[in-house]
Amino acid sequence: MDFFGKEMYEKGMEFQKKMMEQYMDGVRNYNKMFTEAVEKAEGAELSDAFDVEKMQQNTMDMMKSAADMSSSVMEFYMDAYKDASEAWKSAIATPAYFKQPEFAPLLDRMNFSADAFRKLFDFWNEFISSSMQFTGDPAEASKKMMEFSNKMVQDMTAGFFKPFGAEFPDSMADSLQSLGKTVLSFYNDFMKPWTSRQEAFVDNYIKAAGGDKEGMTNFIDMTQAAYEESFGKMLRMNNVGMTREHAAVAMQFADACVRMFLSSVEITAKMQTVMKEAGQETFDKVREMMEDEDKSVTFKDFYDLWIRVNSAAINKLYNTDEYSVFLNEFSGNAYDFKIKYDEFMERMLSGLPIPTNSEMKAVYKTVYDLRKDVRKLKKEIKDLRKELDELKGAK
Amino acid sequence: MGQFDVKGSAEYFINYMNGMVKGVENMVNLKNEDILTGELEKTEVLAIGKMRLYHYTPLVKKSALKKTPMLITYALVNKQYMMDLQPDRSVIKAFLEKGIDTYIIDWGYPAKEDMYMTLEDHIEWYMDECVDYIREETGKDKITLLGVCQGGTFSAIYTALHQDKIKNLIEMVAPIDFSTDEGLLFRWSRHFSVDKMVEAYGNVPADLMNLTFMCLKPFELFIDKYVGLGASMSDPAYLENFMRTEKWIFDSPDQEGATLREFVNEFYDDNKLIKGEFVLAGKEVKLENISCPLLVVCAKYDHLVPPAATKPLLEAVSSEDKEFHMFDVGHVGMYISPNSKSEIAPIIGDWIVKRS
Repeated sequence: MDFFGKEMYEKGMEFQKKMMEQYMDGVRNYNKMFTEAVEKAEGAELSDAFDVEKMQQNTMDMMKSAADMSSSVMEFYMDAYKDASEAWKSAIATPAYFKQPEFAPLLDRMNFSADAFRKLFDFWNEFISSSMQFTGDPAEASKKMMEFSNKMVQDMTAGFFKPFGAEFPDSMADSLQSLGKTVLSFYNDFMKPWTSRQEAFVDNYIKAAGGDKEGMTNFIDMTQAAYEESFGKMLRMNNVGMTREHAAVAMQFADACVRMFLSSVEITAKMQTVMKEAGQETFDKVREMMEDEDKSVTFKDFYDLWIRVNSAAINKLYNTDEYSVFLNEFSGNAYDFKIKYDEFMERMLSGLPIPTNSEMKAVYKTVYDLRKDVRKLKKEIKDLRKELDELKGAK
Repeated sequence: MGQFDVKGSAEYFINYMNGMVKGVENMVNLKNEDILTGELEKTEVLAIGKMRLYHYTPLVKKSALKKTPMLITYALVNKQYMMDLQPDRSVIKAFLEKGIDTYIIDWGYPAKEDMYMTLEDHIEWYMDECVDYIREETGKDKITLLGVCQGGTFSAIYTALHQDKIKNLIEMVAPIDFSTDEGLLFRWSRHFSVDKMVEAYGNVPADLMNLTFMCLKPFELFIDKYVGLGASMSDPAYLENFMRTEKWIFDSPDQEGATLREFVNEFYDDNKLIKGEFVLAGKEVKLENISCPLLVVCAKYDHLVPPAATKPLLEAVSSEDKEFHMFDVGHVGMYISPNSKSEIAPIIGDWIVKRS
């Protein structure tokens, strides 16, 4: 499960770090611009103090950061796509994959067992009949027994333990070809949620890179939908074999990781969009303040404005139904991650001589029920005592 | 064109930095044990599980004590000593000075073994035991019940079920009607799956709760609050008060999973209390069963429990003697703002005294 495991997590962390660095760069640029403007403003006209060209440059830099972020998102998913393709390719390229249909080795084993059983029966018959005519030579009988045993061991080595599916009968060739086509068709279907949206992905990516809010939202929504319809399904599918439950827990944990990561990207994008708009509004308001000839603006005025505008922007976002719904999805994914992580860890640690969380929960429940029983009994005793005292008093 | 006040900005910065330097020195010298909270003398009189019932030592002579004792029920979120956080702003001190014999419930710090504790356990077991203890100890049939925030919801439920034990009911910033859109918690909870949260954590960690509360106002609570500290921490008294509040804010118990699940599902989601559909321990909880004198207190700028969530209680009860007060403070400001002791507590105290 390396594909969606550690590597995916590290990529996610790297991506988050990169986003944070870019955001901080943007903030630093604005701070620097503002500080320089303050320094220049002393004894000069404000219009001189604010370097419009530089502001434009900073805005361009911010936009470039957004574009870089978007490109990181794209890079991340393209990597994921590539890894998935590689995983499929290697699965398909391994002949053993096709040489292990469940029934082939099973039939082999059944044939061998039947054969061995028949041979053993033949030997028994022969042994019994020769014993009936036993001439009194135990060495000869023992020799026959040894010969038979050796033959059985040879047969077992050659048959029972022979490598699975070393050769396929010719009749299987057509089936194999047909199976290959089915797999290829399945693979195409599997990737359809991504390939069918290719144009829309590119279109929204370009829009998002240009700072378009809707483009960014669409891009993230499409990524989530494509994931849910492809890899998400795969990670949540039923497993087979003795380790099916273990594999299911591991795959569900991987799925929860990805869904939480996608949600984190979405919430970050939502916040950044709001912050970007708030930044523009703050800037416009500062310009308005400067238009008033009698106005004298201090850094404290700017700071207060910055807090006020950003708080209002966040509050506006928080108060939309859309955000409430999203927040539930986000927290749901985060809780799913925790649940699946715990399940996974419990399985991993189940071999250690320590009680698991689930086992402890059962103990806590028992203790809780017992406490309630004690409480009920105490109350009954108290009431009975009261009744007794009343009866005594009546006498 | 306006001016950019470079001199003013520079002066502000210099003052800020000077204050910070001095403030850091103050902070270094301020030991944790110096940040005292809940200093009023009190005695533990009852213990069940992690719950403790405390009795405050009266500040008046026995003869001046009012006849009806009072029990304060605080929320499960944060600790009850907020009502006695600073000596000069202590709401409880104001009550004691008026001769009100005061008891308070401390719900304790739940551990994992408490994850199955329900609303019924808190109200019909712990609260009921406390009320009965006070009645027996003082020889009074009825007591005054003061509920704060979530503790107010508990108190309204308790009074509706045991009106015979309650003489007066005071509800402070208590959520009763959860249909309002004014607070973000109310708005968000409609789409929120508490079941998954409880499944994930068992008991919901205090840090997660605190993070949620802080995220309601991120710019104010993550940035501006601490910028403000930098500006004023050169004043040792300010710093001490700030640290006291800070200590209280982050001294939060984990939330028992089953109780939180019920509280959100029954109240935030289905608003069963005000609708008269809530059932506790097999008994229907009808707010109209509350017939005792009722005082409802709200904070005008409360972003956690807006007045719209508390006020409808006045219409839901059958009490004839009912009063409403709204103060120009926020949720926490009700107990720790400069006018807590000087304005808010005296109004509540006088109301209680008149009916005790």
